[in-house]
Amino acid sequence: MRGLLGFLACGLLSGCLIPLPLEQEPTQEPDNRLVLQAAIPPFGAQRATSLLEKYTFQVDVISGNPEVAARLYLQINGTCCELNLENPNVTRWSQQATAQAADALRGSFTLQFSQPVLPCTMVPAGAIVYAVPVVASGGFRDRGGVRPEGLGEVDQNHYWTILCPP
Amino acid sequence: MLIETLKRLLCVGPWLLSGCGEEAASVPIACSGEHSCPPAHSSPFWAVQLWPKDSGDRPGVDPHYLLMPQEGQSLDFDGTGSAVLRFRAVSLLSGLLTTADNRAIPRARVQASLPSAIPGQDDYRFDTQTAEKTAGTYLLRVPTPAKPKEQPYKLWVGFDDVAQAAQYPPLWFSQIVASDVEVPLKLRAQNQLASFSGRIVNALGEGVGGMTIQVFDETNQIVSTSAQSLTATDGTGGTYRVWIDPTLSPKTSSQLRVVVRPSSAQALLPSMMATVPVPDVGTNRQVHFVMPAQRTPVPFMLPLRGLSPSGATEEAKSARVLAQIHLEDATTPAGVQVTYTAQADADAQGVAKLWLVPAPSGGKDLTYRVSVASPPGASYASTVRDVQVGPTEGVLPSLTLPTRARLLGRLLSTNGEPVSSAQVVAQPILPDTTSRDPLERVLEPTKPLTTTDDQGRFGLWLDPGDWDLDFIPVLGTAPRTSLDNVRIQTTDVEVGDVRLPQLSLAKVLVMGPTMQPAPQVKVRVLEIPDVTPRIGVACHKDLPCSKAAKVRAEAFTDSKGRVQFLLPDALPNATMFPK
Repeated sequence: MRGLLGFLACGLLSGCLIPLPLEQEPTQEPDNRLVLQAAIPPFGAQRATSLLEKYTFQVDVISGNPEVAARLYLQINGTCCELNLENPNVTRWSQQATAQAADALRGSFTLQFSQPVLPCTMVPAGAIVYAVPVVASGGFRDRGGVRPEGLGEVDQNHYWTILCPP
Repeated sequence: MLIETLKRLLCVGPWLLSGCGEEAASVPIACSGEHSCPPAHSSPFWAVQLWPKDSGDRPGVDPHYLLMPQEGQSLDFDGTGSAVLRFRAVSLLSGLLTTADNRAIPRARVQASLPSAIPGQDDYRFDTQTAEKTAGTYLLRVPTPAKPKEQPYKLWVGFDDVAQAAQYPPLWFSQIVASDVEVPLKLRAQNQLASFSGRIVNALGEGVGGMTIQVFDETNQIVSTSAQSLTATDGTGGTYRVWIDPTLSPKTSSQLRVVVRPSSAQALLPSMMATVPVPDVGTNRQVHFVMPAQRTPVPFMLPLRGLSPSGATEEAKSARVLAQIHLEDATTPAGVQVTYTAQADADAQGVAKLWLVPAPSGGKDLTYRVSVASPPGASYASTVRDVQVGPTEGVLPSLTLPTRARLLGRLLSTNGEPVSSAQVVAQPILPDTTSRDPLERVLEPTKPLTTTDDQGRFGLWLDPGDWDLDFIPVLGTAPRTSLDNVRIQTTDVEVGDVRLPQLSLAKVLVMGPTMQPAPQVKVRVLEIPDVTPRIGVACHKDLPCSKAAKVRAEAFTDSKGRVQFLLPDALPNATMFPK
């Protein structure tokens, strides 16, 4: 459309080069499908028996995009799961996962949050902490950052619930 | 014999193992087409975890044959590198939870934890709640351990409900589970318990309500009921009483910690801890707490700076900051520790906003212990510093982080070719923290990661300490391996050429307890580290060594329970390590 307008406008002016429209190149859209396959421990409730109970988390996904990445957030105000990084009393950034292909043909990736998490040290007795992995098929907008804004298909609907000792 | 029988069965059926045809899709690229790979060998250093995606729990299915997460299967490879792993059957733990006078207790949490025999792996935890309808009964499905007598479950009974948690201390004990077992659970009578009671007051002597009081043993397990100090304006305000089961703490334990923590509505109040001897059954001990005077945290800004690789000073964005101070005064009862804790992440300008207690006007500055965890990939290091806090809120003097040392090297294949696009992950070797006090907060070190370039080169900025380097080549091209026990101080370390070990191909068939193929099971193969003291590796406190098992392969079984993956047949070889 813009090329046509340019052509019409330039036709009235001398010395104007008319841009010839280039042939549409087929663009390779990344395959952004994203399926959460499994998790270790499985998603659901974990009952901590001590304040210093440590957890490590892992998520397995199917993704068509090798840029798939995941970040882990801890929701510490007892609600789930409106992440609010601006308020450290609501959401705490925990870590980014290392992503390893587990089956290249099936597009299976393991996203390992290898740093142990001690959720019950962050909250009062009896509180609930939600450990929320944000998985983005195309990685995150701020590479090397901590924000949860992902590219491509994004999943933040799965989480682990940690019940801290009352 | 079992393996041979299985293979004969499988080769004539729809399932195919090595020697009778393979699906190209499941073969690692390094072993596909014209390339053949030597078979994997058995090793006492291999350990396996099986994580089923679906337990198979359906109506009518015998619960004993469900698939549950487990470990302990032997990875015994035959001459072709094939092995069969079989899930062990599930055991059912059942019983009734009652009080000492035989009243059934509903809604209690019953958890069975099986410590992993693989160093560095989390416990396997399975839990349920006691029933409401058939009050107090429970049924728990747990995988039968590989060696039940050597691997007892830890059975723990506690309460999610605040009222119940205030009434009954938890219960825990070891339980051998070799098959189905009925385990009646009986809480101890109050005359078999001890108690601590006291009052929590502020500097004016007014009771402080809403604080949570719990008692921990030296391993940080809770051994008491959970109490909340009373909210009242009369003399009962701030009082509490907790019941303790002295038999829960280990026999070697001589001290307990009474810990007082604020509720979420009291976030600016301190936590307090008193260390007291383990009481005798039937006794009550008074343990009082007094908040220090004039100690209300206010916001302070702590600017964090670091040197970039170019030598310029820059803001330490996203650094994690933890500030703690012990503040006792003349009113603090003997043996009581008062701790104020603040935590924040540095913003985009490298400023951490912390709520800190200001120094008293005209008095000495307060000294906070500030831990800063620098983000992975940054050229400035994590550090622990004393920071002086004056009487006026506002901006504190900026804290400059020391420069991190770099660890450099080049990753080569077995044939000496550069290995590009491999992940290199640094894992810190951490000291044992089981005996630290429940209010001591530490920032766990971050795990830096990088990727090798076209020449196989890698570089990581690392905090001082002892590290393991995990090398994770592109899937299927080479085996995962590690270079353990690399000590980083303040100068760069060049590990030179790290040559990957020879690869081997493992072909594994995973079966359920009834010998049916187990699809969609995550098979994790870990290598247990050799912790034998040897030259350069002392494995003691001053020169620690890596004790955590490392993942060498993880993959899901296909619809026929089969999976193939690469394993290293040795440790990597570093030519110039350490320089």
